[in-house]
Amino acid sequence: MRIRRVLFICFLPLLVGAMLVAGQGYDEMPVDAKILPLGVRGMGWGDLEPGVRGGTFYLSAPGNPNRWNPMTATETSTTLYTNHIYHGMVYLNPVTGVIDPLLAKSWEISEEGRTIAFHLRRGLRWSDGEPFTAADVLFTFRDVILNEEITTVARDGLRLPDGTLPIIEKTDDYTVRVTTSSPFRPILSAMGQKILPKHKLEHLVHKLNPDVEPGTFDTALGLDMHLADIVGMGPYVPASFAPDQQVVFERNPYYYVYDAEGIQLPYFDRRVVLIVSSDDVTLLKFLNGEIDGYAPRTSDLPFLMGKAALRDFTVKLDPAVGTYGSSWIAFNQDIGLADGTDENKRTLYRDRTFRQAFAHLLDKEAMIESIFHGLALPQWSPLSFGSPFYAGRESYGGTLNETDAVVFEYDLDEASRLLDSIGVIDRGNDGWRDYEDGTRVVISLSTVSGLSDFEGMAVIISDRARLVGLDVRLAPGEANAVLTAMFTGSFDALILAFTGGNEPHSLGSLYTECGRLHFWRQSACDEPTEVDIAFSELFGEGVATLDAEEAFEIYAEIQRLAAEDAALIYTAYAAFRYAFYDYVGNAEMANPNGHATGHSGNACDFVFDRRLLP
Amino acid sequence: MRSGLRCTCWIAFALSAVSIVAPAHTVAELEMIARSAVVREVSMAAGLSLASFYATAVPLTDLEERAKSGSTAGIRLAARTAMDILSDPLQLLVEQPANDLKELAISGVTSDVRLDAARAYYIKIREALTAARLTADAEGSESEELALAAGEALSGFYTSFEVMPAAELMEQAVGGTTPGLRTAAGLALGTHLIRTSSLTEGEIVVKIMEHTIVHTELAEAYMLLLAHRWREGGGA
Repeated sequence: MRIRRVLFICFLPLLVGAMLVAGQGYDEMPVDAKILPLGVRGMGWGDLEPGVRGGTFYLSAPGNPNRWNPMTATETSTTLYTNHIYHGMVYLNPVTGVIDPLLAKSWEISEEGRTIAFHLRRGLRWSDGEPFTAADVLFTFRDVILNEEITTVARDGLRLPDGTLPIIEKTDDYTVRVTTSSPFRPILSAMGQKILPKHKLEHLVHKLNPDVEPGTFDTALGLDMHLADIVGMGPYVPASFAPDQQVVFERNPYYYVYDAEGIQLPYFDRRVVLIVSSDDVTLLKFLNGEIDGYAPRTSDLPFLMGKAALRDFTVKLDPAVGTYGSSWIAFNQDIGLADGTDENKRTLYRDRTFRQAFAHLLDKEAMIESIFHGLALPQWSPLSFGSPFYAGRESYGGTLNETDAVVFEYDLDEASRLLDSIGVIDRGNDGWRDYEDGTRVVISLSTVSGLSDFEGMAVIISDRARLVGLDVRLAPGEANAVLTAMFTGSFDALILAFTGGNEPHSLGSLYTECGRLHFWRQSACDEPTEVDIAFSELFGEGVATLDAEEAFEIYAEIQRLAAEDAALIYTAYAAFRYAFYDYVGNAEMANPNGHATGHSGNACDFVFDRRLLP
Repeated sequence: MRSGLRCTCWIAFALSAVSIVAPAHTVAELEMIARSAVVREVSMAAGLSLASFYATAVPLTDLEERAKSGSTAGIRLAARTAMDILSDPLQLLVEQPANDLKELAISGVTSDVRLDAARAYYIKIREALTAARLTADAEGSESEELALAAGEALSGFYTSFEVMPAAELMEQAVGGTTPGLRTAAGLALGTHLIRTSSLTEGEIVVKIMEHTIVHTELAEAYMLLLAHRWREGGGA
């Protein structure tokens, strides 16, 4: 007994040593490691500087994660966390803004455009040291995402217009082939879905393990899971979670991304996400130095900019760079259709000339100045400025020139002329415009109460409309009530916003006649207009070409058509803003695109603590 | 004759102060300045530069003691700022309704409580704030602390949405009709100086000494610049 104990004590250091080695990562940089050429001129990364490892980066989030599963919890409150842990085969490069290799090192698209062969990086390991292979990619796509018994919106992005899903096959341990029924351009970005570790999760999928109930995977990776069992390919793994307080991430010892000097990234040892539900407290935490960076609201700016120099932080504002999303005003073109009322209004709202007249009433300059203090951009397109397909660019991903912008200038005279031309005139000599039957045109403009940006815009719209005799009355409402009215077609006019992204195909749900978001005229699914049909054809053409420039032209046409039709009249959207302490290296290169593994414009691979520089 | 004497004294003070602060880049040196600088704002600049070091290295009980009865304004400021870093009172206050905060800013039992409540109040209602509203509050409010906090918030407008030229900031820092307005201009001037000034440390100290008694807000603006230089130069 005593001998056993002595032996155990003697071998204990060796055992501990062996355990530590298992968690220490690669003996040497993997041959296929991804290199970020920080500071290397001519590769798009020249303005960034190589950093040093160490330190902790603090940031905040408004809530807890719902779970650690990137497939079944896709709301931003959760992806903020899961983006630290998991990587996809491709990603949107935060510096160049194009789709780049991540876990895949390259890909080839077949000549007919129906097959893509992804070549995976070799020699990579999951954060627990297990090898990463094509089996993990296959598991993720074939057994999880395309598995109908698992609930995930990731499947929607892979569905082709004909309703089919791609076929995913393994050619060898490091090659995955994706085949679609017809050329489908968005497939490349859709393959950026986060890859899951087969060895850790396959037993939770009913299809692979009949011993578990169908739907088991839907609740997998819950918050009660032992954190050591959460395994990823991303830069960090969760080390501790205190609900409503913080999540601490530690570096993934097997992360496969390095800088040009061969230093394994990320530079920060830890990222601590403080869970702060109050915007007021988030601002104060930043001012007090408790978080290192955050994306402020417009109303935060005077409190920040007045103290930036005194407290050594920077507020990066770029009025020329819009954040993702769009803000718009819409009229219910089906108003009264169900019960046969409001025919005057329905006819008016369906008249494109009326909507264009209204577009001339939007004083976007006043909105930008008075609501956003100049830190916003006027919008005309449904697509976000940041998208490489934004029609205001010269070409795909090209510089912004707005040459072909369809802009309805703020012009009261033109608005009046157009209204006159469709017979919406003042028939009672009371200063207000009327329908042909003499009743006054009264527009009830609703938005979510408490959203000051929208309320402010609504006030300006109402004020300018009054100048041409249009009676626009504000009707703010509680968020859920407004959204319910929007999706049940029971609103009059509405001012709100959508989030946005790079892929223009997502606009299809908005502009095609049966799209889930075609809320302003749901009857179009049964009675499409010529414009609806044109949209459907263009969206079909847009996904069918793999030529980015050709696709750009198609989506530019969609954007011009959307602007001219004015079903949604776009207003203004806040410009990019980001605040960070000056000791955070490379933070000045924060990009509104964010990063596949970052958020709030802060790319977590390559930021570092300048105070640790020798 | 009297003004000549005064001038000589200023220069003497300036030279002695410069000789003290010139190499000020270590914690020990900053602490020495905070304890011994003759000019209040120089001591406070050192105190501000020490605060983050104090927050990590000085026990809370010692901080409380130094904040209460530290030997100089600089030591007290360093300790008080460090305590705020460790436990920012505004973060608790700001969770209260705006009306309650305003009431506390008017009738809180101590000036510190009233000022914290006033600062939290303006954070809480920041979406509704304009430079005009803050100017009105800084000109005269229901408590001195509300006016002062309005001035602090107004300084942010002076450096962002309602940029005020340096000459006007200087004029208002000196001749503003209320402490709130002078504070607004003084703080904004501090920011302006940090962004633009090429004064040497010695020259900054001379500026502080020129203004320390008569124009406190100007002296404090230069104090902010000096503290920034010291932080930039390493040390704490």
